[in-house]
Amino acid sequence: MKVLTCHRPGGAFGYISDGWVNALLSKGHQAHRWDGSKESWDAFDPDLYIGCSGHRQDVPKNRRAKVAIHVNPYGPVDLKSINESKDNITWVLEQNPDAVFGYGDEEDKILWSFWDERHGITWIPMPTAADICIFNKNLDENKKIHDIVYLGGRWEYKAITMDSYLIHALKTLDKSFMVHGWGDWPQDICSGGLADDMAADFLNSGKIGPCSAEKHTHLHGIDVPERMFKVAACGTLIIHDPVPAVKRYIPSIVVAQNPDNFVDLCRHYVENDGERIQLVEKQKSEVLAAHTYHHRMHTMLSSLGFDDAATSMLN
Amino acid sequence: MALILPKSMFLHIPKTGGIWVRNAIKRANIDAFEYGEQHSHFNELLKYRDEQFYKNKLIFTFIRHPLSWYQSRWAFRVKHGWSMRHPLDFNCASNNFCQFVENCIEYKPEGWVSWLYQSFIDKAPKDVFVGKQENLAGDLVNALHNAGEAFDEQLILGASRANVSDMHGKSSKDMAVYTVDLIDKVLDSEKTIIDKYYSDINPSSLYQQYSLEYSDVSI
Repeated sequence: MKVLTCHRPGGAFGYISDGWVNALLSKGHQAHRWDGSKESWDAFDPDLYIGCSGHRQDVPKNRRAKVAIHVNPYGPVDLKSINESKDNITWVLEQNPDAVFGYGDEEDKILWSFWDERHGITWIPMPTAADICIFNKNLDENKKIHDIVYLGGRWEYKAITMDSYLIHALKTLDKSFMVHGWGDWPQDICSGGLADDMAADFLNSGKIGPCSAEKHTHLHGIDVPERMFKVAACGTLIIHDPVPAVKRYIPSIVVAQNPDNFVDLCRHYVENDGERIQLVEKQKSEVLAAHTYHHRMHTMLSSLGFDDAATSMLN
Repeated sequence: MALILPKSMFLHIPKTGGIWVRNAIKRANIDAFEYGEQHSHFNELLKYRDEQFYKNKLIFTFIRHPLSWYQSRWAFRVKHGWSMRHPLDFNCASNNFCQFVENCIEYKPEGWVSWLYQSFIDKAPKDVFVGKQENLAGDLVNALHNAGEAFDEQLILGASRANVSDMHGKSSKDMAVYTVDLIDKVLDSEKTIIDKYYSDINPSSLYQQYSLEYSDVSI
């Protein structure tokens, strides 16, 4: 099957959409980024285009391809700036998509329900997941050279929760840590950026990989960062700050209730190797069983009626 | 906080109309002041004054049917966000109403609502006047009369609604619809409180009121 995805932006969407492309390529499908031109669209003649309301590319009106667009919540709950903007809603409707999708689970449908209720557009639950083409490492205790590893950005909005949990833990615990990332990190904590091709080995090098989510994720349980899936797939223990219902994805995930509990859990699992190793194996198997981008592409393709291609994603 | 009135005190069980009760009491110009946290049990109030202080006061509180309590609790959290510091949210949060209720029953098979109500009502040192959210104004007037408070009844009866979990014009009842099977599970799990306070309600009327399968209410 031939799939075009929107151009590759920076930030989380870039990595997440890389995950879809990698999953498709690994199963023998053709998948490319689209440069937005009619000529390249016609030359490739896609079966499916995967776009994004936040990284708009107008799709041809007369087309053979089905179109699925990543959208933000749009439903009866006012999530303020997290909800899709009016302007974006208008643009999405103009593209006449076959489906829209968002970073939520089936249980979160109500938050996106107006796409279907008001406009008759099917919403596909597409939470983030693990890109196992890149992030798939065995647990090897000889490679655990840090107690704690973290990879990611920090800026004003993220800092609301990160400072109370992750940074509080790093400053409180007398444990070795290595942090790589970008944005506005305290200089005494972050060692700067990291090349993409080193990310998996880095995540594999810690005993635990604390995971941090943004404020709206703490409140509503949507937009869960893909970090937790990657950390588990790299054989490192996830300890997550408080995200509601996050255990629906990884039942054995360790979740803190408050900042001090987060510190206690980090300490406990750094100091108790036996318990940690047992849980790492469990978390990883739960991710590989249901939360890779192969699974997400299976969901999307089957929702759009590409049954054979969907089946191929899990074979 | 618990509300202390001249001859009575109000214990506020979450999601049972307590904000309305506070507003109505204020509207009726009854002298009242707050002690403790918003949802303090009686025992927590002993931190502020000894038991003697409360001895001659009528204690009153409000409850609501567990089926509507779950609806209201869920709609409130979906609208305002879950609080992972709260054990119910930590263990049961879901943006899907039926999943949330299933999680609650699994977490507290003997009934979270029964446990919650009992923790307010049974921990008090004497009988508690238990009003129902289903008859909020009338029961508040009765509680205040029983306590011997001086107030204008019409000011209470005329108080407007408050703290309703409204979302785009839909109430929690519209957003949170039960299946018949789930109603049966809640009735079974919350048997303690239902037998004690709601035994007069015919279950078939509950199916009609709360289940999509028995009404044309849709999300």
